[in-house]
Amino acid sequence: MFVLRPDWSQPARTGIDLLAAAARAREMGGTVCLLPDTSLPLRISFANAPVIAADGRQAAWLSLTWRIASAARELRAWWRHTTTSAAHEWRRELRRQAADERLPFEVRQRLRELADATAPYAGAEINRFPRRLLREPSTVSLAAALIEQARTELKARGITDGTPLVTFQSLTRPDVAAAAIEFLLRQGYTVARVGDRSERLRSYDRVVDLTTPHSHSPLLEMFCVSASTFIVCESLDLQQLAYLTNTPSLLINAREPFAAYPVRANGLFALCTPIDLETAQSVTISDMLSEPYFRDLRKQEARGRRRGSYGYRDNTAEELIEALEEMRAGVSAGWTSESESQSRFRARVVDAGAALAAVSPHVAEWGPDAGFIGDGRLVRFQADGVS
Amino acid sequence: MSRILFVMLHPGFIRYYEDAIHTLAASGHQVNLAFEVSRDKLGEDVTARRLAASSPNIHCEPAPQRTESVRDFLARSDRAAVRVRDQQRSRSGQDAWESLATTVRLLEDYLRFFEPEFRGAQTLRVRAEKRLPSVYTNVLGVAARSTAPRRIVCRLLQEIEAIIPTVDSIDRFLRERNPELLLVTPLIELGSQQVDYVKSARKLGIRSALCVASWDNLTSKGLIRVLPDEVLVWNEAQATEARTLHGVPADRIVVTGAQTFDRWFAMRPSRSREDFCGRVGLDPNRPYLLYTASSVFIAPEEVPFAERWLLALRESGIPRVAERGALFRPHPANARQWHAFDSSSFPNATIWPPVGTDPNSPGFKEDFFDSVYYSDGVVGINTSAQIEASIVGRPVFTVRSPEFAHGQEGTLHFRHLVDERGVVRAAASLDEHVRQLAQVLDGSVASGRNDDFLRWFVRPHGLDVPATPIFANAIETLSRKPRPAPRPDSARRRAARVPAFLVARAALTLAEGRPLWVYLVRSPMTLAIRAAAALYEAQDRWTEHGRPALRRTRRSVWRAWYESSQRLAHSWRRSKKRLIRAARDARGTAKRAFGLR
Repeated sequence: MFVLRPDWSQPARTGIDLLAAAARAREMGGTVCLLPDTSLPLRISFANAPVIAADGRQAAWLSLTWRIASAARELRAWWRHTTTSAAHEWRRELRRQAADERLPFEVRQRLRELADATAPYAGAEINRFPRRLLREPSTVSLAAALIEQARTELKARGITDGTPLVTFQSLTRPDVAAAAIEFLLRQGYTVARVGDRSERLRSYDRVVDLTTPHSHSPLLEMFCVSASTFIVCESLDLQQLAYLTNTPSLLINAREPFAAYPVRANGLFALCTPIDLETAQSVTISDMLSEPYFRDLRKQEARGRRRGSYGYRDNTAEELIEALEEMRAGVSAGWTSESESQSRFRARVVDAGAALAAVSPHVAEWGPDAGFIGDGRLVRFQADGVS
Repeated sequence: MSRILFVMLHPGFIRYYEDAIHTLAASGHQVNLAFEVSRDKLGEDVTARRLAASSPNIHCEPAPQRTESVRDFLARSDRAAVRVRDQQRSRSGQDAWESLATTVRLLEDYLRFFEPEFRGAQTLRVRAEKRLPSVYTNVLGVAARSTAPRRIVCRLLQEIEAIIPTVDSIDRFLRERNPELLLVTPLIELGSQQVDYVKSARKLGIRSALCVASWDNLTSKGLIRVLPDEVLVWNEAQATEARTLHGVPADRIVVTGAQTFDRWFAMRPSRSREDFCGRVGLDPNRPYLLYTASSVFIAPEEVPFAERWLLALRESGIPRVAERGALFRPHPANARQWHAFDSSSFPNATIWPPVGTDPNSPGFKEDFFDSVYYSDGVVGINTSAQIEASIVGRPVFTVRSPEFAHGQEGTLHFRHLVDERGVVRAAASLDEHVRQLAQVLDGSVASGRNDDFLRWFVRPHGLDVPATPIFANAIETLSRKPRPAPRPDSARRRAARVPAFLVARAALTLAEGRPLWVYLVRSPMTLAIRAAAALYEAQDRWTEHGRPALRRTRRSVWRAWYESSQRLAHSWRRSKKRLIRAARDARGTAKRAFGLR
């Protein structure tokens, strides 16, 4: 039995944990037990993986078990962190000693060998994104009272049942967002804008703004995502939430192809255009699969800054509309029309991931999971342009 | 005429004092400029050479070589900086003292950001924290949150600073130059080593003064740890900061005005508006707004915001705002990111000067002035260009944005721009900003030069009174004052140096920023490695020399024994033969004698 306590303050993370637990339960013929969550009581069911809701004495016992397991996991994580850090420092110290020129060459060489031998222990532990476990879709439903509450709130904003809805996370430039929203409206969709940043955008009929602080609600956001025909997002969090509700997703302005690569066939993504800030030249998609590009990302992460050797240009309105058209075609045709270039690009990402995982922790975390990067695809107009 | 020694961190500081240095040199004073760090990132070395060539009374030279410090405090923030002749350094006891000095100064700078005035300045504190080994911040980060322990630690650090001896090379340098006046700038860098110049000057009886270079110096960086004899500031606001935040007595503060902005009062456009717009690529028939970008600390990623700003203007629906051109001026030290700005997607918007333009190239300042002069208004996050625009009389704007909160509300100097005496119209959102722009551009709100601000912040002695001559006069007056009495270290302090040296050694060791257990393990580990190395060398010597020698000896002994035994055997055989022969002869003789045959 896999016992989980959902934490809906981190919906994306919780969603991935739930899906991974369900997949494991399915593989092992087990069940998933959800401990009650008072903040957002979702009712969740998975295909081929029974879900039980614990209550009464069983809930108390499972809760205790969960807490002990959770504490043990935290202790293990602490221990791993401590040993990794110690190994790292030990390695540094050995290398420092090896730099002493007064020592005989062979002794220094031996010290270097010892330092290199500790290298595997000195690297931080990587929690690989469980792509294979997320491959199979699941069914998630809210408690009836919550569904009713969300429906009422959306109805008050003009969204009724059966309305073709697109959830749009508008972190991109307002002019590009406006062009995309106008396109969606022309196609007959109602658009729900979500996200943290409330950009100035002209008001439209059939656009519901859930970005303002008073209308921001995780429940509404989740309900919108689950009720949408597809979502357009810029953050990985929303893309991962869509895995939980099995909603088709279009991720835009992706800065690299590994983390952004959609796991399921109903996912698309579009890469932004990195600009080399030394030369002012744009970086090709092929170069985005190279080691120097990820080395720079790693430096940025290590220094805790957003600024690196590259600047980024968002997808243009034309690119976004082209991606939306492909998305619409995919939704209506059932995601069967993958082009040769898209398949080729997937293979390239898998190959590059295998090669880069050893040198880039980012790729090791987000890259292929035992050779599987995802059933989704890069938008066609970009895949066609990859040499 | 006086000898004035001006110690600058790097030649980039010349731009704040160039006119004043020329004035002093023209008055016959010998001005020696010494740079602690050589830097050519923005062509500063060219400026220094040009300045030295302009007058025989001006000399530029590197400051004395320093031994290594805790860490090269500049290398951590400015990778283009190279300490002068750093590669020639040799490790000595001076290393330990310098380590202790830098550690103490960094700690003082770190602790100042816990004071109530810096409650919102989290990023400034983090910047100071990053330069310290974590072993200190782990302990002090907790203690510093309460006022009493923080004050005790600060007092202790000041005592340690007083015990740290002056640097021999700086003492020697000052004795050789023997100036009437020592000027230092900026002095307040985090962990600054310029403090040693002030300490040496006190010891040798040389008058010293701090020249506050810019408007943020007294609030966003470190402390004035050892007080010089005088502090030259721009205005009353800085005088208050010097008194309250740095503890400088009021009688040591001289308010001169901001000499660095003088040329802005006198400048005139270098070309016509049509020529300028044609050169930068803007429509000359339309007015434009100037967006002045900020430094890397204030705005590490400014391009996305600038794009949103321009879109907010274009989509405002207010023709007089939406139809204006936009000129973006990258910050010279933070220009690279503007390569990502796609000006092709915005009509009548351009970047000028192009990214990578040398700020020391001819016409650079004139270009900047023309950009401001021909604009209808200037927008920026938090930059001195906003002050320059206010001198030209252009309305100045800013937008408070969460992504720049650390560089706006998180800094004290931003308040000078936006508080009730400030010159910048601050908006809480792009919508409000657009409304402000519309009001100013249609003339419904006064948009003329804010003389009150300029009188308060830039020219406190009167709008028509340039600050450069006042600054130069102040320097002359200081240099004419009698020398203060030398203040050598007291016997108590000299005695305290013996135990303090142990602390200095510890500071040198801890400067590596490693966990404590590493230092505990290091000595036994070093011993073990040395023992292993000695064993290895002994074994090596044995293999190389001992064993062959033994083999040779063994062979020699064997050979000696063998040869002697052979010789013995041979002798024995000969003797035996001789005996046999003798016996045989004796037998023959006996037979013959007895007639036995």
